[in-house]
Amino acid sequence: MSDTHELDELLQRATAPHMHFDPAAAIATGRRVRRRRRIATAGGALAAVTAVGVAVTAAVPGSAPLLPAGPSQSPAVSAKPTGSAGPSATERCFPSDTERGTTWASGSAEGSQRGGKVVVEATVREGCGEDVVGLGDFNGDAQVTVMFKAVPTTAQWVVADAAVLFLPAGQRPCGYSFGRDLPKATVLPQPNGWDLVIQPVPGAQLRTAAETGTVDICRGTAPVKRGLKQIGWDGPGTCNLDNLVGVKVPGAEQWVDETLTVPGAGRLTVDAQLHPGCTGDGHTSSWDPKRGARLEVDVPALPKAGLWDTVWMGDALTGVFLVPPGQTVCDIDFSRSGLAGKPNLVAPQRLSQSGGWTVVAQPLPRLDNPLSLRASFCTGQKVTKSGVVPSS
Amino acid sequence: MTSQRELDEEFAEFARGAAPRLLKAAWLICGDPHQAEDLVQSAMVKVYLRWSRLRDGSPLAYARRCLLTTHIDSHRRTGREYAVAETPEVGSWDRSWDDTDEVVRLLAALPLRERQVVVMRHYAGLPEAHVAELLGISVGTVKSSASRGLARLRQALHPTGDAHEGDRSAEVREGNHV
Repeated sequence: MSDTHELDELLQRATAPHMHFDPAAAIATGRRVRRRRRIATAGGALAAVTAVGVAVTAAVPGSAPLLPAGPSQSPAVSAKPTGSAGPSATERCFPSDTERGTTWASGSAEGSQRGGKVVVEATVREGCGEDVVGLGDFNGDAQVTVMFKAVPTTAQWVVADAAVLFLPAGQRPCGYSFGRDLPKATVLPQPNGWDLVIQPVPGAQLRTAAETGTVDICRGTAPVKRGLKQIGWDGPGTCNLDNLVGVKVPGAEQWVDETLTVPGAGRLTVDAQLHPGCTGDGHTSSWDPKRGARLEVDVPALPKAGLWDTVWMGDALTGVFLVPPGQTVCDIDFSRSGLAGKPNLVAPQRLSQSGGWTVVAQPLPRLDNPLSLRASFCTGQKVTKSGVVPSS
Repeated sequence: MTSQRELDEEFAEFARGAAPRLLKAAWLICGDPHQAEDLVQSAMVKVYLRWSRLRDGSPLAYARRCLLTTHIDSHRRTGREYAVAETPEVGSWDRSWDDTDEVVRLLAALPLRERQVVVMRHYAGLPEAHVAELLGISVGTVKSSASRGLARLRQALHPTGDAHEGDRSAEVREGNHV
């Protein structure tokens, strides 16, 4: 027998150890990656994505949630947009990860809730099933991305950090349902003849504006449209949390809202919302590590088991755990991380919640791939659940 | 138009069929079953992300390419950050591993590129041109890598020196594609 055939035989007959591959896990991860790409695209924060390393990463600094259009965010409570729309809206709007559509209107103005500007970019995506609105944060500016399914023919608007209006020439807003004495708006004429109007909204009124706001549109003093609803808003409906990143629908319930100081890393806010009526597994996403990191958790209902994710706080990696009543985080498995040996971890920060849950922030060593970590939750000495991967 | 659900089902069917041999190929290349699982998982995620475009083409070829490039990337990362006791010329385990399977031990003695070429040629059964395309190298480099790799393996298999002479990079057999 020749050497090559001997080698062929050896390779073919070698008994590989038992290995496992789960297509469903690959699909779930792929969906998450796709969502992250959309997020980055919406916020213009692609550069920030690469800072984390692997594309299948947990944390996307400077990320911008993108959602099918609906009543928008309420940053006074959370830096997330809110929305309610068909679950496959984003899928239909993104046949390709690289296509962003044709820019239709753009501009910026001071007056963001975040201290910077409100930066608006509107595009037209032929083939989009629904209009899509994204709100993100980039270096303190609110990035508002609107994707229209077709070129608008009548006035459109949405509340996303500020009220953002797209008005045909000669039309103007002449009354908002959520308040009268609003700060001065900025009108930005567009090459297409329309006006982009950015109307700052005081923080105290933002939630109401986002969830139920309407606007009257006039030409001169003559009303053109009264009670114009926001882009894509048809009232509360179903939502799928696996398709809506960072979305808070009306009726969302605050589950956890805590801020911890992680030694050597900074302040970390954990904001967890329950979304009754929504489907999907839910998700976690990190937010704005430059100004104090956030971990946002969106789940349909109170989880039945512990969950966790990793957050980059600058160059520091932190594991954030939501631990069920009576349980602890009893192990973090680094065996797949590439680290030589198990690292010595500093003591974690813990905050007890009403209902018995505990928020645990555990500083971690720097890793190329935090998704390789596995956590175990225990009740006393008994392992309740092991091999728990980061949620994002 | 195919729905997302149908695309997912198609992908899952493809992945279930392709995974066993991809896993084994990954294991032969990296020598560690856990890393092999991770490599295949990463490769399959990349395939999933492009499934709508790959489904009518060569998803398996793309999966192989992803597998190899991911392995190279992880190897570079690991090599950069953690010193290894063995020199790459002698042996280059991707991770510590105590399995004693002879084949993997033999392959681990090869430099990374030679190992990848040998596995793709002699386990996956791919033509030289295909391996060259997968690895982004010339056919000549594939030939020389395969030849050197075989020579080293010959040496390991027959340390007394009774190995056959000559280049044995014979035509690969059909039906063994990863």
